[in-house]
This record gives sequence, C-alpha cells and structure tokens, in this order.
Amino acid sequence: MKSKTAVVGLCLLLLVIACALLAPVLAPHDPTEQNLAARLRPPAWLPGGNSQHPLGTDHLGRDILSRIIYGSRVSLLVALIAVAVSGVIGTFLGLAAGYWRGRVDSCIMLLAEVQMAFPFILLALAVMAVLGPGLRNVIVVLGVTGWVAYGRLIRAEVLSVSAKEFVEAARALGQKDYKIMLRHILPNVMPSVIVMASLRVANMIIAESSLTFMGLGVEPHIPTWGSMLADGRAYLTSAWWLATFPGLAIMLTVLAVNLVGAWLRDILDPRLNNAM
Amino acid sequence: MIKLLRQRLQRALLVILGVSLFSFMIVHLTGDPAILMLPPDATVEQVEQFREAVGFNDPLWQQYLRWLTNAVRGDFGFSLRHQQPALTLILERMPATIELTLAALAVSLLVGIPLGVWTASKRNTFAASIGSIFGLLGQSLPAFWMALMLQLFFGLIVPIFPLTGRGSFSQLVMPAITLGVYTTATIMRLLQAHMVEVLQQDYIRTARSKGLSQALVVFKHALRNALLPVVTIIGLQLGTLLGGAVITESIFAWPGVGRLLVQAINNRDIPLVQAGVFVLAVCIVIINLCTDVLYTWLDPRIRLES
Repeated sequence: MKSKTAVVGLCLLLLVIACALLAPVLAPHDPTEQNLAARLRPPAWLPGGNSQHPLGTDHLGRDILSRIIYGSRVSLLVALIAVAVSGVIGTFLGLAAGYWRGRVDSCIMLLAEVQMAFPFILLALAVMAVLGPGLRNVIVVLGVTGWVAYGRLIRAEVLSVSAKEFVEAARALGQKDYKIMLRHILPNVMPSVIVMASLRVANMIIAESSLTFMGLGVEPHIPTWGSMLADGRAYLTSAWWLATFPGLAIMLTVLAVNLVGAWLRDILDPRLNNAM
Repeated sequence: MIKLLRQRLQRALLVILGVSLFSFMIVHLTGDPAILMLPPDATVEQVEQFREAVGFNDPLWQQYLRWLTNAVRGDFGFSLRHQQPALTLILERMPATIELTLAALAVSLLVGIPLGVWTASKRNTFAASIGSIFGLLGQSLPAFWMALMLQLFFGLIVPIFPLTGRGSFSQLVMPAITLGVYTTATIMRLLQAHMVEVLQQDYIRTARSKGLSQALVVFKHALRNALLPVVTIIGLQLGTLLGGAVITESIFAWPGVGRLLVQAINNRDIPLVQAGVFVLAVCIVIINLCTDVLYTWLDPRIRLES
C-alpha cells in the first residue's frame, strides 16, 4: 500500500517539477497574454470551449492551463527556498539548544514557544502588511517564521545523540564544540531534517498560496495559483473553472509532497512515524 | 503536582511577555511606523507631527514599556478606522470566532475519532485504505479552496446552505467544515497510528482472551489509552483553528476577530492589528497551558511521578 501511494506521489511530483522547469515549452500560450475576445471560455469539453484553451480562459482571456503550468514555478520556488532557509535556521538553533542545554536551550525554546503562540497565517499576514507584498518578502517571511518545527525536532534528537559514547569520545579528545556539532552530531540528525523538510514543503506551498490569495503575497502580475484562485472567486457563479483548476493543482501538488514525505520518513526515519 | 503547575504558569507568563514584545516589534520592522499609519500623500511635516504626538521619537524600549503598561490595563489604543478602543472591537467579535472554532473542533472530533478507530480496527483492508486516503487528502486541501468549492456546490449548484453570514445554524455548517477539515484529518491519522500500536499490546490480547467483545476491547481498553496523545493535539489544534479562522471568516463573511483583523491589515489599522495579534496569541498560550495541565492530570504516570 505504502509503496504504491509513494509511486503515485513521486509521479505527480515529477510532473509538477517538469511543469516548473519546462514551462515555456509545455505551456500552449503566454500566461500573461490577454485576449478579451476570448474571455471566460469554458474548458474544451464543455459547449463553447475549444481545444486551444483546454482548461478555458479567465476574465481577461488568459489561458488557464498555461497559467497553472507557470504557477508551479512560483509555488515550488517559494516553498523550496523557504524550506531551505527555515531548515538551516531551525537546525542550527536546535543543535545549539540540544548541545549546550541550560540557558541557551531555555532561551531558544522560549523563542520557539513565543512564536508558536502566534497563529502562523496571521503572523505572516501582519508581517507582510508591514513589509509590503512581493516574492522576496514572502520567501523571507515564510523562511524566518518556519524554523520552529525543525528547531524542536532537532533539539530532541540532539539531546539523545549527544549522550552517546562517540560524542563523549570526541569531547575527551578535546575537539571544539562546533566541530563536534557539525562533524559528529549533525550527520546523525540529518535524516530527520530531510524528512521534516520534505513534509514542510507542503505547508509552505499552502502558506504561499494563502498569502497570495489574501492579496498580501506574490505580486499580482506574476501568475500564481493563489492569485488565480483570488481572481476566480468573483466568477464562482458564472465561470467555475477559474477557481477550480488552480485549487486542484495546489491540492495534488501538496498531496504528492505529503506522499513522498511519508515514504521518505518510512525509509529514513521510522521513529518519526508517530511524532508528526 | 502543585510545583509542576507553578512552573508551567511561570513559563506561560514568560511566553506572554515574549508575545507582547513580538506584537510590539511587528510594527517597527520597517523602521518607521508613522509612514505605515499615515496616508501615502502625508507631507513630511505631518509625518513628523504625528511621530511626536504618538511618541515614535522616543527610544524603542520606552515605547515598548509604555505599550506594555497600557496593554496590561487593557488599553491598546484606538482603531484608526473605527475610532473605537481596539480591545473593545476585538472583544465584540470574539464570541463569533469562539463559536466557529468550537463548531470546527466538534466536527473534527465527531468525524476524526470514529474514523481513526475504524481505520485502525479494520487494518489492511480496502476500507482502511480509503480512510487513510481521506486523511491524506484532508491534510492536503488548502482551506480557502475548500471554502470556495463548498460555496460552489452547496451554495450555488445545490443551494442547501447560505453562502455567507452568521446567525442561523445553516450558516455555520460550511465555515465549520472548512475550518475543521484539516484538524479532522490530523486527529484521524494520529488516533489511527496510536490505536494500531495499542491494539498490539499484551493487555489487549489478555482482554480478547478473556472473551470480551470486539467493541468492548476497542472502545474501553484500546481507545482510552490511544486518546491521550489526541488530547495534546487538540490543544495545539485549537491554536491552529483560531489562526485558520482568519481566512475562513474572510471568505464566509463571518463577523469574527479573524475577519476584523484581515480588514485592519488591509486598512493599515496598525493599533487594531497589534491588539488582535496579541490577544489571539495570549488566548493560544492559555489554551496550551490548560492542555498541559489536563494532560498531566489525565496521565497517571506524570501525575504520580510529580
């Protein structure tokens, strides 16, 4: 069962990655090209639709399929960079907290608790409102606010790893703290980091599209799934396809990432099974 | 037990202090909050006057202390848009948000727990696979899309429920499902994992070999033990639900704190945003504290040890 779903997830994910990489080749139209004569065309299989626009067109006559294909670029780019940024911050703070314990641990965990008290999307919205919308700001906000999940997990792992003999041996040999952390402890907690990162990609995709949907994410002129949904909301009664297909794209991508993440967890770190 | 409670309470107070610093600092991220709060066409003199009047020229720590002492007294300043005390506005909208959050939690528990038990007890069958897929899908659905699809299907195509607003039970259904679906999936998956583990324990085999019925074994012996981690997650999920309410309320025009804050964010009504963020975060700290205490009380291993 697990391996079958993992194959489905992997295929879906590869499809999304292919869309992002080969967007100019795969997209039938320019995603920003407006054609008011062909506005609100339904998908090809409905009366009034044609094969030129397989998933129909939006209120400005832009091709929905092309916008979805290009939209995958923003979703993946934001998610991957935000996950990398938060992963690096969280891993190092978790390493420091777990290795040094005492006051350092107490301060870092207090910071984590404080941040966890804020509803993530509300914090992100408020910060975006102050910094202003934009691709770079979305990445910064999601990257900086997303570290807590890693920090707490890595800290717990480091606590158990640093009690092992090889860490004691390294200490007895007089190795410096940062060397012990990076050379001896980090490689042992890396599988957990990878599993956590893969699962967090899904959260980041949803967070980016939520911010953009609320009008405080990526700039409106860049085709994204969140902004397509926001546009489609006004046409829910007359043109359901505007909001339906980008949402499906988000759901399938997130599902694919979750399936692949679960599979990675099973092979890399079965202990995490219940922790998440 | 009392010592443990005191420790938790001290920690919660420390967290609230951190929360206040964070809420205060959000506005100062760009360096000049005056420009944020004034219309874009304000002259340099107007900005300077405003800065002086509000006290933005004072050192940051002084401003923070002033904000904190006022906040402790319940004074978060006036909403720029509504010209009313920010806290009053938030407290007025709180009942709607609590109603929606509790309704979503009810949906999650009423659907999540039976589904979790069922999929765990029917392990390795087709039905269980369907249940697992439901769990995965539930965690993959973006809430705002789910809201739009519910509005499309049950508000427009088959108009069973009103599209927006608050007042009647039927208006509560779609927002509660939207907000609750992620938590439902989370509770279901967590309970399923723990039930599977518990059902393999020796005492379950003993219960079965005593000849107890399947229902008694599952509900009395297994579920009671598997529910413990769910209690912890409920506390955490309440926080997620309060946060999720921000988007759900905006889509369904639900007159709660979340919608008020989104409007405040769009209107750059900074005092209101600050107050709202702070109040919601404090609510979450209190919920977490209660969950912690409840967990300690429920788990005899922790209760007796301390």
